[in-house]
Amino acid sequence: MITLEHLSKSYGVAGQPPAVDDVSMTVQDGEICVLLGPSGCGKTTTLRMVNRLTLPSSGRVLIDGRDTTTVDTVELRRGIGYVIQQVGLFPNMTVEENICVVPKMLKWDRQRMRARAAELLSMVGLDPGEYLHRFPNQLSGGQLQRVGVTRALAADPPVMLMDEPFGAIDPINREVIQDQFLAMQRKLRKTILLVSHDIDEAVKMADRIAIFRAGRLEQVGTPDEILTHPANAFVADFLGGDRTLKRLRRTRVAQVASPLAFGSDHVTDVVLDGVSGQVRVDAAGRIAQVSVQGRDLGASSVRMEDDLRVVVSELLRLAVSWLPCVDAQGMACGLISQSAISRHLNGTPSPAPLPVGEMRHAAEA
Amino acid sequence: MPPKPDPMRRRGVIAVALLVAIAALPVAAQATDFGRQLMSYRSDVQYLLVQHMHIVGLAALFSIGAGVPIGIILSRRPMRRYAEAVMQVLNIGTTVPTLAKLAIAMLFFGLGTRSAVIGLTLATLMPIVRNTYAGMVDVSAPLLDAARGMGMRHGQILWRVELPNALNVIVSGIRTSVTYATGAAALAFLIGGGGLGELIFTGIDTNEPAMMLAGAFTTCALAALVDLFLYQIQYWLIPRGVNPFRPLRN
Repeated sequence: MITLEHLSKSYGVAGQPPAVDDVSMTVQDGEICVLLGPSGCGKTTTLRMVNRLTLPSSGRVLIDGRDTTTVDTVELRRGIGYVIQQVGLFPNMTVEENICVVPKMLKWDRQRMRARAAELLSMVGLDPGEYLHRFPNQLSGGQLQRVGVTRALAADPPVMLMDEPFGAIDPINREVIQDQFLAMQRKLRKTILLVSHDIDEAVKMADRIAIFRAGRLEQVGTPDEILTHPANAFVADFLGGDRTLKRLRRTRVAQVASPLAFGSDHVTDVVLDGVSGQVRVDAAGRIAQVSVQGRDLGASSVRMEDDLRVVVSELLRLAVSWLPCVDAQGMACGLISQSAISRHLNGTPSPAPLPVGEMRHAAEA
Repeated sequence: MPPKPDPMRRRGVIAVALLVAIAALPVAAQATDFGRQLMSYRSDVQYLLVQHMHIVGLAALFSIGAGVPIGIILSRRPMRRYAEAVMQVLNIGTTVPTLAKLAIAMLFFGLGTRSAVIGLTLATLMPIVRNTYAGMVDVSAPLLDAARGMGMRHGQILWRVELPNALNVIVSGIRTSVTYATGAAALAFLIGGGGLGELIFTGIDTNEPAMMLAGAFTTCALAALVDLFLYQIQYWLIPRGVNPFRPLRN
């Protein structure tokens, strides 16, 4: 747990407001808290005060209840993973040596370090046999950033500080690395402070978001809370007029869809939101054909693990108000409708009972 | 696929070929009258070569031993604001001809080897300090930020991050200035320091081209050898990941 208590940083320049002004907040164990705000808002300064790369002018930082000033600064930093946007891998060292910087300082034995480096590399999807002995100058931007994260995780620190860790990567790779990192985090449960200026990244990654402006903390809350109830005009402006759409990304189809057993080799008549249609499922349980109001949509469907943004995009593209959903194995397993999404966004989560029509054997249809 | 030829390596090969040619020259020249004259200075060359190497070796030792630490100290945060002033002084110092530096050394320390070593040390020191400082200051800020953030101590940052990444620039400075000093040491004779300059200047004064050339050839060959040797140091000493002489394959 990271606790910031009335944390301030002033560079003592006359006429200039403090870089960070009386910030108090708590990051719970296992939580990703994103510090979000425009550049120069004090989010990076706040982050750097946690591992004392920047010394606070006043206030305290506590990690698991211990005041960080009571711990030797070097020891403190070795127990905190640190990732920066420019990565900062040491070009004179191999990937393995880079990953083992902190373990080496903690005097791990060679075997253990080697095994750890290989384990972590596989975890971020890089083949240890191929990459352990490469040098940073031989890696692409995305690979560098992955190794950067790996290096921060090497000694298994409970707390991680990440300063725009995915900022320098192209959008496609960024999504991939973010997903990979989230998957890792689900297993590792680190306590993470992450600085970002990208709202989409924050909404995607954060358990909680802290919004900064000019050194002050404007609002702290879960992405849903903040997107639904921005505390003031600045937060609302910063989040943008499409903040309801941004919320879609936080929800998976599985949370909103109404489950339905289609039965293999059957045609199911559906009337949902007053729109009728048919879903034909083949003998293997996969969707063979969807038609809505007589329009043939082919085998259109969305996956249970998709987020609602994907669903809305599909609904708009196909100009329909509902679609069938398939599970991870591709089996037809439910329906999702525009009205269910609206209900979810408005905080009435229980899915309405499905007004399902007749179900016939495919041969009869 | 054969690796691409490394231009620096090719230069090394050329240097070796030149040396062989120079070494073969007296043998080939033995047949001629002039060749025999040249070879008659062999024992002088041997004696003066040792003296020459002695002067250069000491000057190099002192200038590296002092220049690298001075450069490192100047690159430390609290010293940075004085560093630029020091660099300016060094820049002016560099424009003073080596001969003048030797003369100044002679003023203070009299005739002899000691003055020659001190004068040459001064001449070599400046580029070494400048390169060391530049190399250290050029180490990118994110590297140092990452190093500090991971909990490296000052000494660990210096030895594991700053020096390895600045080494190429530092050793380049050493290589340039020590190679230069090898040639410039011929001037040591003028302040009574001995060395191969004795043959060169005496040869000029007494109008004996063979004597002059015996000294000049040997000085050139020595300078080429020193350069080659320092190139090897660069090739093998600079960490693989940042070694421009051993490009990494992608």
